[in-house]
Amino acid sequence: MSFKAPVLWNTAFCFFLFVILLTVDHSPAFAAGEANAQKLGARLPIWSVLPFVGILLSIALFPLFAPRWWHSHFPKVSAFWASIFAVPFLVVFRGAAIHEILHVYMLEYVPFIILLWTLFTIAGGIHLGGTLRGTPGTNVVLLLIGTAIASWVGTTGASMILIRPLLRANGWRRNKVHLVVFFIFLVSNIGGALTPLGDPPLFLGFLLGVPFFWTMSLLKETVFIAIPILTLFYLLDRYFYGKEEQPAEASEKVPLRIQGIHNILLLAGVVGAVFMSGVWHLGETTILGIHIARESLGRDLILVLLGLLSLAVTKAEVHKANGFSWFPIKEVAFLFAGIFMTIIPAIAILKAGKEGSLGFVTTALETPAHYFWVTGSLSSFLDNAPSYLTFFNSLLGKFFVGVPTREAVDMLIEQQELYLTSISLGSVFWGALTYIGNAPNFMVRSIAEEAGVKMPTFFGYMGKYAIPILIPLFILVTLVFL
Amino acid sequence: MSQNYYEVVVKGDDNLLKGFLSGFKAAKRIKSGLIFAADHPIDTHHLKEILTFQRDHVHLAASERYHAALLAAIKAAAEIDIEIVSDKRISKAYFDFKFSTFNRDVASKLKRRLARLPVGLELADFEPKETIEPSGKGVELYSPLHDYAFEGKGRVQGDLEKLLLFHRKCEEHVFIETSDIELES
Repeated sequence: MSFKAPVLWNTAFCFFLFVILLTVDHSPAFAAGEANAQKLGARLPIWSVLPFVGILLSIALFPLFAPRWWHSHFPKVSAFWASIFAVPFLVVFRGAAIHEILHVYMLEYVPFIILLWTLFTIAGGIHLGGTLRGTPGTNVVLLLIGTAIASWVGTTGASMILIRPLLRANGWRRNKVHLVVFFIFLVSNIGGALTPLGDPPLFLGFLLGVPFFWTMSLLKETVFIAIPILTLFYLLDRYFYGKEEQPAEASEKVPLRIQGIHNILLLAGVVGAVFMSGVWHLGETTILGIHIARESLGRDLILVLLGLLSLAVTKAEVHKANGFSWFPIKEVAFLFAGIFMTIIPAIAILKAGKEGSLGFVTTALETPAHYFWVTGSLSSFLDNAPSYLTFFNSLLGKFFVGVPTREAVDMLIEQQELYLTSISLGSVFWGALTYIGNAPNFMVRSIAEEAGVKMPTFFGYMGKYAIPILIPLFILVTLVFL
Repeated sequence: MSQNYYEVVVKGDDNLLKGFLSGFKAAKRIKSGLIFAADHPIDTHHLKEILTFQRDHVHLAASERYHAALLAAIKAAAEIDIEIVSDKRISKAYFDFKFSTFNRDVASKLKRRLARLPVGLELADFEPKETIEPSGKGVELYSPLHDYAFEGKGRVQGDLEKLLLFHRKCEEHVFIETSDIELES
């Protein structure tokens, strides 16, 4: 394997460079780096999205089929796909390419990773301890709390805080799979629909100009889908609970207590900082030719400080009790560095609307329901953040070609809000359909397996639980709201 | 196998044969040693029966002690339209199993269960694999590598009735997946 990798790398790289050189229009304007993303998108060939497809498929398939290899080599895989796009892109488009790459990393990637790092760090400092008995009532309350806080601490944060108490409370029970599956549905996905902090795709939308509280307009759809899921969970859990052999009462009951409670205040600070950056405009500053809003820089600085403060004031025992390590956030940072690079052509092409090579996408998808189902289907098999980004840009390309992003987003909300609703719901809700639809799904499965729960296989999860329960609800959401 | 068993295939209505077998057991005061295969996870779907669409074949297993008496009773009951199709000595009874867990406590329980097989049963082709991967410690978002894994597969073979009981115990264990019991003549 090791001696073959460089050969594969070089072959793929040379092929890609060759294809780009052959297929793009080499106008002098591009060589001088004067073109904007709009023009770039009209000239990039459709093949240039292949590295994006490659990295998403790598993220989807390697952890399932080669977890050990993936665990050690995912940064190289990410770098491979990023450079297979970036080098030919820079060779061909030079100044325009540098500008586009800096633009994407400084305005989207860095703030995205800073927010995830902060939420991950602070949520990792909150631990719910004590004796809980896993009755159907207790379990419903835990899921309800998780669903409610997921929009405020992120689906990853809420999952990390609550999955261990849920498993501990039900440790004595034989049938536990349904608890974890419904936890993934509600806490790791659906609950994150209400703020940009909830789920990464919504934060990307916020970074692109969607107002902080716009996502609150998704409350009715969220409640509409959460209530039947919770009801079904309660009935199922009561059925399984009735079949369990009741354990002897624990001799010593430890009262419930939240350790690291100060981190809840820090989370409020995160909400405040993100909200502030959406409503307070302090002008722009230019770094390496990229215009950055000062309030965004201020927000990122505050987020980093809040994260550092959490680390300083949280006891080591709390992190230990949560099994906290830096690996997950490093993993996200490496993988998304590759995703943000390889998504450049897809976004540029979609922004070009009918002028771009993917013009057929903007014309083929017509109704909000189309966007809900297509964004959703892709989100469930690929990561939901890039799926959202792709269709968000597809909408801007469809309705407002040539209009600057911020203004186009305002116009989208004003004139075509249902489309934004569709892709937001699609990217958040459909993440629950597979283990790979949203990052916490995998994490929750992994924690449950380590706690001795025999989790279903990838297709078992889909076939036995996700498809029969969620797809009928998605059909109802489509009929009622879209 | 510590006790010899015979697989007796009888042509007739399955409910009728079930009743017949119950009556036979009651008359002879037999508590064990006679098995109505359809009541247990025993694979009786012989290829020849499937291909010839013979759905009225009922499979019984009888220990050597009652085998001759059972054959005689079936032959004597020809008027109720039952007929012996085949009668073969079972040379081997077994089931295959596999398991996989990432939890050390579950692994210990699995090891204990497989180490203490009932007398008359034995493990064959058992391939346990315990993997400790310190770099997999902690829970990652996209790399669900576990720091501990215990997985394996194998076969349990031996006395048919003890095998039936042990098969049920394994089925009750959520981490063990079992095949149906196979009978070889």
